[in-house]
Amino acid sequence: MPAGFDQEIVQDFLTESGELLGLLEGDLLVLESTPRDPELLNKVFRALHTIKGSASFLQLTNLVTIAHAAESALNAARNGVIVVGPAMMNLLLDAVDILKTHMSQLAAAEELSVPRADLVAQLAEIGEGKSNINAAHTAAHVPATPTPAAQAPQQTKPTTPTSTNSTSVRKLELGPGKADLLDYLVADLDETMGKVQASLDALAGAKDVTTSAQSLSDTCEQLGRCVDFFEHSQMGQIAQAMAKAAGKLTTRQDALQSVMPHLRSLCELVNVQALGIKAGEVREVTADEVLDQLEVASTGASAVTPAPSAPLGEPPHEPVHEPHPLAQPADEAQPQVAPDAKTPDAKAEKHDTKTVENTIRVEIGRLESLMNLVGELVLQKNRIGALTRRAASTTIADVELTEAFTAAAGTLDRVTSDIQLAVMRTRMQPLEKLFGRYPRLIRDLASKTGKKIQLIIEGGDTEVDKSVIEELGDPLIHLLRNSCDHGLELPEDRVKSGKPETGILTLRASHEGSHVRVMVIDDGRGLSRERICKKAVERGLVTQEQVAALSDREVWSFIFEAGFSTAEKVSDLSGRGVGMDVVRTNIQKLKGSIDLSSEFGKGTTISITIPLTVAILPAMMVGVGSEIYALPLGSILEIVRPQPEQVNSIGGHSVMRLRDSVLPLVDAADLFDQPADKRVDSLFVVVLQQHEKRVGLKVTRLIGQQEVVIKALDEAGASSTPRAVSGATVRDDGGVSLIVDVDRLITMAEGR
Amino acid sequence: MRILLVDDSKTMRNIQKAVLAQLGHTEILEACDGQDALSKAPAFRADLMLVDWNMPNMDGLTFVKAWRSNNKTTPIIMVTTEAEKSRVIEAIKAGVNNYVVKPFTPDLLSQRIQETLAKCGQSAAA
Repeated sequence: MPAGFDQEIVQDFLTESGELLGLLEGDLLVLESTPRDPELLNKVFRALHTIKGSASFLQLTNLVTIAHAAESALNAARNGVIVVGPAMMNLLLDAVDILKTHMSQLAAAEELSVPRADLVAQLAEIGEGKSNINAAHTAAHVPATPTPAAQAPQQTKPTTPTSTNSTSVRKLELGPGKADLLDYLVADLDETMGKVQASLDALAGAKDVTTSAQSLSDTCEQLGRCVDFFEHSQMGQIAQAMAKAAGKLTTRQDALQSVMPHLRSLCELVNVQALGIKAGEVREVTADEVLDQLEVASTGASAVTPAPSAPLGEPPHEPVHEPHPLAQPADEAQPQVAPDAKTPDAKAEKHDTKTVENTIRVEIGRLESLMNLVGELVLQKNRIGALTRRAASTTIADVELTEAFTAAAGTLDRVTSDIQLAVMRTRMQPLEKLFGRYPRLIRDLASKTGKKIQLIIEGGDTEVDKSVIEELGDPLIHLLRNSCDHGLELPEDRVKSGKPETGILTLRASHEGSHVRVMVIDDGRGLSRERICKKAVERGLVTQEQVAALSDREVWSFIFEAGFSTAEKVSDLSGRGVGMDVVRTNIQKLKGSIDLSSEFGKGTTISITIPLTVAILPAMMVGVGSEIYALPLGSILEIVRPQPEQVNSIGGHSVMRLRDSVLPLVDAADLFDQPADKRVDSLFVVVLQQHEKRVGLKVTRLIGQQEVVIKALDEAGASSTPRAVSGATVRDDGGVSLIVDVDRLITMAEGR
Repeated sequence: MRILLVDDSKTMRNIQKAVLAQLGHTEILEACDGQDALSKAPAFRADLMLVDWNMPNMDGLTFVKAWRSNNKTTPIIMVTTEAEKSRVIEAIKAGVNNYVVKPFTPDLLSQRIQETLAKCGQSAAA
């Protein structure tokens, strides 16, 4: 670790640069389609630049090397020397990859690896404008502005140094920081002197006096600052005097004729000095007299007494303003409008940037323990609620005390809910964080498979629990890969089937009640029922006779079986038949479900539904016989009390007519194998819905809503007897209830 | 001495602050881009500004131009990179008093600060 900088700065660097790299990669991919977008080029360049700047302080030499190479290549693109083409983009992305590796190495306190020399060299070549990597693209492109050097020749016609009647010459001696820049100064002097000359010529023509005088004044002021920096004070003084005189001309055009000759002679003097700088000399010229004359001419054009000649070096005194009638409005308007106009903007920006900085990093472990504590708090809150109700119902209750108790319990309930929500929100992150990785993936997949793919991301701002982000990453990669590899067709095949060349792959996220739905939609060839059935029969999952009776949904579900693949050849992308099985397992870990629909030739849609949080569930408690179960509130559509004539039986299965539709019924007592002697007539039907499929669950009693903390069931216990149960919870009265898994319940109802 | 430190990277600001602290400067106000600096600068009345070049929203050069349109005297040191050196002249013309190339040592920065203050003090006194 470099000395002098503590771990905190390195940590800052990692966070900041990590974020920048993420953005950078996304921007690069956008840049690929709009390679000339100057804003974007600037943004990308800036990101690299910032990373490099900080890294140079931390002495991360290897990182700086690759960042610098990539930055100079981008700079060439920014300056219009080269257009970012696919080949160059590959190099840039490779560089980003190396930077990412460096970040993780730095995080692990490892030595940073040496970047690939060929990559660095190629990027550097582009930066120097030597590369012909995108030869085809650059041929027609000419740099927009000629370099100052190119303009130089016609402007360096020096006025003959005749007026240098007494010029003293000394060597221009500068410190290293300034000597370094001398070459640039020389190039710039040519340009600046050209401008001075041009403005003077325009003034002489007396056209647009105000504009020309202003530009002369500005240029001379800049020139003054410039040579001042290079410690050529006399030249600076002359330039400032010219600037001042020219500035006055903007408001006092009557002085033009008397001022012009002096400006011209000073210009010649400055030219002589500029030539001196080129030769590495400081040329002191005799200028006092001309300066005095200029002063007189510009301030005293209408004055009767000539101003006393001020010695050179005295601060040019501000002449008492005799405001010219024309001058006043302009004079007053300028200084006032400018700052005012800027304030609102500046404030808005300030506000913006503040939100960025108002974040603190907290260790995940702390949030997790906070989350657990809140879980316990919710349990205790429920318990207190129940005790309060009991206290209120006892006859010996002190009414006043009970009321106060109830009020307090109510407040506790509200506050606890708020805390729970607040804590949950601390763990929420936008899916964008995850989705941001995929454009790169798709781009690589597209170039590997030779397909044209457009990835559309929708709803990236949907927030989910951090654990969901982590667990969802891999499954989504599998699904996207599948879609690219198997779903979307090659451009020529697409054209043949009358589709546009470019396949559309949509990744969409949205909130759906207490769930988040993530969909992967492609407009590719769709699943072939025939091929899947054939494979399923081959693998003995189903018999030839059964196949015809299977619903599409059942056929598609074979895809999720381990080792199931219809791909004729295994590519290095997918086809080994591992993916979908793993996807399903991962999604189930999140208490989510996965659903697939497909139309042959039109495309496939895979939708994943995940609860917002995996820890706390709003539930409806229902009684079944003497037991109490929890139903996820989000899945409940309605609760009805059917009339006997509404309930029928079709094919031995109980169904119920609900308005215009027929609802399959499941008796909860059957579902949980309650002994016949303990059964009570079930009067209520809870209509449950998941994935647009419905089922009615017959229960005995309705108890009420409760937020239950999900406790996972023992793996072994859960799998040995597959039941429609997703977990267990502790109720407010201290008892234990099972939580009904609606998804599995519906599957079971369909499958009987 | 009051120093306004303008840089979009928090890391860079912390580094520069550390360097400035080593030089004994602790009265430092941070701004994260030109816009931010423009809004903070008038009230802060800095004795010196350290301004990064490349920043989002408003870059250092634009900031210097905007600031100089009303205030000709605040000493400004531009923090640049090797690559930006070719444009330093542009910054000087816009009103920057000095520059320092990243990465700099505390010594170099200290030297540049003294150099700049001496020069600016001189011209102010003259």
